[in-house]
Amino acid sequence: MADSSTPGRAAADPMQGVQPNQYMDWFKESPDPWEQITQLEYGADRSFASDIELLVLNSDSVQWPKLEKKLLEALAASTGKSAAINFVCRQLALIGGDASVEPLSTLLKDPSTTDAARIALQPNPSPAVNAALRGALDVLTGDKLCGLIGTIAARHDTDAIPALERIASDSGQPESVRETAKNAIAQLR
Amino acid sequence: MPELSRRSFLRGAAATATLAAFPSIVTSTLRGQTTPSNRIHLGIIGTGGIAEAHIGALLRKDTCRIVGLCDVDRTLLSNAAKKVSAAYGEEVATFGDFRELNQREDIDAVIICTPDHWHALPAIDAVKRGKDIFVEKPLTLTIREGQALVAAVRANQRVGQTGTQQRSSNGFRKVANLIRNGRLGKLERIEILIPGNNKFCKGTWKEEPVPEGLDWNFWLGPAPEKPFTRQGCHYNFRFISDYARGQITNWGTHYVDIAQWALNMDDAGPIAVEGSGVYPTTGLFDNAASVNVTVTYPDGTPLHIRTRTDGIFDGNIRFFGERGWIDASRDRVTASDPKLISEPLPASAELVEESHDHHDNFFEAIRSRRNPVADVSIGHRTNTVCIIADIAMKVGRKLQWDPKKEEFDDPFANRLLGRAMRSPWSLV
Repeated sequence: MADSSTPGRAAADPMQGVQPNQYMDWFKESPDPWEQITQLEYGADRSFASDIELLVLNSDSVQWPKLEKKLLEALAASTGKSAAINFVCRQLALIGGDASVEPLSTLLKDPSTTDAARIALQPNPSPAVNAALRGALDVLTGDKLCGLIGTIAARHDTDAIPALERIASDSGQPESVRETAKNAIAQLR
Repeated sequence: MPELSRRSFLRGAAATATLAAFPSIVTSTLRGQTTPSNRIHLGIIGTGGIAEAHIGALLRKDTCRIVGLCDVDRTLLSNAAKKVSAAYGEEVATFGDFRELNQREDIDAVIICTPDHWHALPAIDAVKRGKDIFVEKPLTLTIREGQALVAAVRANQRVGQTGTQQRSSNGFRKVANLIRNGRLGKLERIEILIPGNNKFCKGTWKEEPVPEGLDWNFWLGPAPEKPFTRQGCHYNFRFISDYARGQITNWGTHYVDIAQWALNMDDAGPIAVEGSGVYPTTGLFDNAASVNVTVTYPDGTPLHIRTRTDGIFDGNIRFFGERGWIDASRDRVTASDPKLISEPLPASAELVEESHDHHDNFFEAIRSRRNPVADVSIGHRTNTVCIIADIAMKVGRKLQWDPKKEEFDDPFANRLLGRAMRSPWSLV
């Protein structure tokens, strides 16, 4: 008979208290990488993010809507975590389409997330992206506006020229913004 | 006719201006030394490891003078400035912002020695301000940046040299000439070995205080915002995808450049790419630590690039043909039969441009307004091969590449040809 200082089988058994019908679940239990990526921090283990990235990189286009939905859910759950937001936006840059435009438009207009949103939007082929970018021209200011104009130029959005002309001639804008707008117009013409 | 100033001579793109000014340069050179007014005045942007090598070589030259240095790290900048100032016996101008250096009227040409994510923007700014440029390899971080840089050099009629200095090496030039002129008969394949990573990091990392004098925000520049950590900055940037693409572009550009040269593909490139890479799944470094990739040229010749496992920290290229093989690295050229490399080429052979010193070649190009031996368009094509290799390894499938359109046949892969830059930076 074991004395009280020696752990008996019951004390060492990790299955103690587990119901028989939960037995297989115990073996199968694993963290959900989609949930993990919403908690991503700079400097932390990013192996779950790598799992998601691999899923995205290896995906076929028929899988993209489902993956995009999962990424957008993760994005919504990543509020305030710039490492997580940047990571998800990098994935959306690869497979994002129409469904991404509206949620990213909200981030686009927020100075704290606008750069991440542009990572996702710049290569997105949805026709709605250009309008979303133009819609942020009147919201962003200063450096963030310069970055936005750069993305508009990279997408060759000639419909943005009238709005850019207004910015280029607006004496209320900083010189750097007006100069960026002028250069963008020159590129687009 | 008013005498052309040194600046107007160096800036002048018109052939008449070049011809008018040329005799004075020849005269000064014939006297055995370059007169101060004919020296090319240089600015150097980025003063880290590779800049040290440039500065060491440039200080020994009478044909140029370093008049400005720029870095976002005041410690590196100060160290470089001390070296240059001591050599010249007077203070060299220093800058923390490349735009200020590029604005200097007394600077003719700029050498870009920054991390890869900071190549395109200062180079484009420099050519827009009338400077000629020497850009360290790999030319740019993305293909879109490379296209923009080449276009800016052409639009502003500037000289642009790429820092692929193996084009100024006798051994590599000899091999390029032999292959171009059919020494091996029909070419069967090309094998390139590149070194593996020489730095390593843990699976997690900690944010650290930014060292005094380092402007971390400026160092990041167009890259996504990220906290500072010592291992994620100088030198190690090459292993992190926000700033570079790892050894496939770091070493790959040197040896792919020789393949492109030998195949006469300087304005073209392969048409297919396929391979695999080992990308670290955690930790600070995320570029491929090991590569195994093949690009295929239009005539069917495959170029196979692999990470070497013999511990040698150098690259290597070997051409296989129906008559044997020829192998080149930085310290030697060998062949399956010594005669393949010892027998001279016929007088009718078409030879590549001869350059014996990459800086001198750049300076000659500045004076003559001709393209240098590693013109930026050549550097862009070489870098493109390495970038599409990285992209193909990432997506894990064979991709067709159109060198004319500079696009894949795959819309997914095409999304990786450029990147949005962090505000306020852009290619505008």
